[in-house]
Amino acid sequence: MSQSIWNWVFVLSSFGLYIGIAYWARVKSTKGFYVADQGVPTVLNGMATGADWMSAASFMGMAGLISVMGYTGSMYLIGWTGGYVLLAMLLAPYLRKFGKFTVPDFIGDRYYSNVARMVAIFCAIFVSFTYVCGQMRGVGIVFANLLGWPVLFGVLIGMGIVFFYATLGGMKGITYTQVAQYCVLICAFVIPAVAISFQMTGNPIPQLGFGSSIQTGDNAGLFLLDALDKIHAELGLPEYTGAFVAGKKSMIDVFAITFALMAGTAGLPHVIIRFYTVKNVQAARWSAFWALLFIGILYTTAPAVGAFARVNLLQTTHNKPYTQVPDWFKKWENSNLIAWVDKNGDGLIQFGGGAAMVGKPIPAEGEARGSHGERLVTNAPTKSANELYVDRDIMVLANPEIAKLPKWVVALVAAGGLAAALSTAAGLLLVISSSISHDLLKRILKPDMTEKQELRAARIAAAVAVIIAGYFGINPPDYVAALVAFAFGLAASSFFPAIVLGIFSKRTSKEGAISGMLTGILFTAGYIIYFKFINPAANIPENWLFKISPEGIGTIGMLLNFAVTMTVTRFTAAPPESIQDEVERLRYPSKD
Amino acid sequence: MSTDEKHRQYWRTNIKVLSILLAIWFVFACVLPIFLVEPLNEIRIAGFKLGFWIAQQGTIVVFIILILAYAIIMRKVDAAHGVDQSGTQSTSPGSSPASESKSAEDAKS
Repeated sequence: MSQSIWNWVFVLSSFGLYIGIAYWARVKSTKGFYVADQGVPTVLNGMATGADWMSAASFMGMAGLISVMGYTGSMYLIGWTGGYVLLAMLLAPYLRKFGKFTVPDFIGDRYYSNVARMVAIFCAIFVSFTYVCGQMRGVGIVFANLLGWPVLFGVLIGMGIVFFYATLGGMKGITYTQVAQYCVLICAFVIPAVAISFQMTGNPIPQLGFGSSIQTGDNAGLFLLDALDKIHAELGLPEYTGAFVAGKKSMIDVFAITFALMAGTAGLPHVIIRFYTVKNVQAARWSAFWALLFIGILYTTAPAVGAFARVNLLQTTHNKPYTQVPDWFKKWENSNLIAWVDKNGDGLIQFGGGAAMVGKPIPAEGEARGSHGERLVTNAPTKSANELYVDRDIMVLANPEIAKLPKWVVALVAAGGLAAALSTAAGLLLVISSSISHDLLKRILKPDMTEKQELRAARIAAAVAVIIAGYFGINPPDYVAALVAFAFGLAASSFFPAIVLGIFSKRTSKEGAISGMLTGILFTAGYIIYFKFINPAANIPENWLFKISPEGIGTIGMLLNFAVTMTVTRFTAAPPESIQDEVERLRYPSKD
Repeated sequence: MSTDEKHRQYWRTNIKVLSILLAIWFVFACVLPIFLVEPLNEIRIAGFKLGFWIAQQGTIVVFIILILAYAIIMRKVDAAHGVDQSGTQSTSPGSSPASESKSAEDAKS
């Protein structure tokens, strides 16, 4: 069977499965729509949380990032898993006990204020939208590059699927499709990783192969990571396993980014609401455990995949003549994700430090070819010796081909990438739709709405959100990547302190929480906007506050939020008795 | 012991448990893989430098164990303080026969 038939079979059958599940799980009540009737078993909720959490970026981007960054990539691994410990101990059980539907519900009720509710609604929608645009773009990348289908077509199909199960089944439909999507994406990630680990090191377990020695090629007999360090030294790149060596981020910046990602993860509304769907407090704790276990399978495999891919890439391309590169190289070259400029005219590919060219490859007029048959680009070459541009997002997608795995594996990886993007998009769309129909309409603007009207509003809001997200998937703005720093920074500097203090300090007043959230948001957003949009040229460590990059500034924003909230609370009236009783109630699993 | 007193004691125990676990969390999230990574990299285990291994593998395993420990410990603490929930609805200790019998056991022990 040809590759494209395999692709159709895997992608269409996985889509069929999702639609079937969504139809089976359709709902009629707002409780079903927002929190899946609070009847999701813990293990399944763990899987759903895993799929909800692991986005196109985790599936496709993270291993590639680590393979480029080496040690420094650990900040993503630690940040995006460590947040679950905070979630399991400081947030999830108490929010489940609170028992309502959304994060703005908690903020608005706990701080007895619609101003606080509005701030929370704004943050929830903003954070979720930045994130969802990235998912739709991920869908586009898989379709365009892996399946060779047009991006427009791919995104429309993706939108259609998400639209169908998010509006029909709400949280319940999303939950059970996410369980299926978890299974698809984890198989798609682990199967190629096992095959490559076995090929390269003779050990089929990627986590162990990571620390084993290379079996064949120029570096046979060397430990994989030692070989990487050696090749990096030869090419003049920073040591792969080295921590804060020249050319890598500083210790303070790695710490700040890791911490912002952890607090941000714990404050992301689409993750928090997954814990509203289980039956009680104990189930919330257990599903946090299952969630991190299922996420950990991918997150411990990813750094191994990153290292394997790095060795493979360097061994197959560096100092090799272009005329002998494998087929996958040319395939990705044709989609502008790999490009080679023969700066010294020797016909060999030289890899090295620094960018090979200015910006992302732009093909020359009429797909012109160079003297060795390479695809020419119009980008100005840089002065560095590096001749090779490789988009880091292709590491996972190209892996099965690089390792010469069977065609069905390539198709499975495509289905896995789509599962990762769609499952996260659906969770985010639900946050957006419930923020509008429940928090904004039902709780603020039209409290007399009937349940039927609210459910209809939720479906319409979900539909509108899908269309806007799809538009940005087809026409991705250049600043999508920069916005991701926003999502985590804002979640860390707004929700996380407000929720934690709301549970652990009865005395925290609405004035305290509102001024704290606003300080955190304005500071963090101001810093990111300045360095990313207003004055990108100044975005260098010398200009940063405490040498912390915009990606890590959420940590400072969070500390400011805590400080301002606690100070203002001291000088304002304590919350009313009824609110303090409500906080008491959150703390004890059985108290009414 | 009154219900209120029991609740206060339960909350103090919860704070104690999570303080200890979060201290371990901080050590594995920030101290070992970031602040102390360079000295730890001097130690080698098979093909790994220890600091690098902790940063890319070890912390994640420890995080999973910490959440598991919290779930197990708190299940016991819930039961010991008579605040565990039986069934899907949250019930107060007084109204549920199951937790009433647990409270009685507590009183004996």
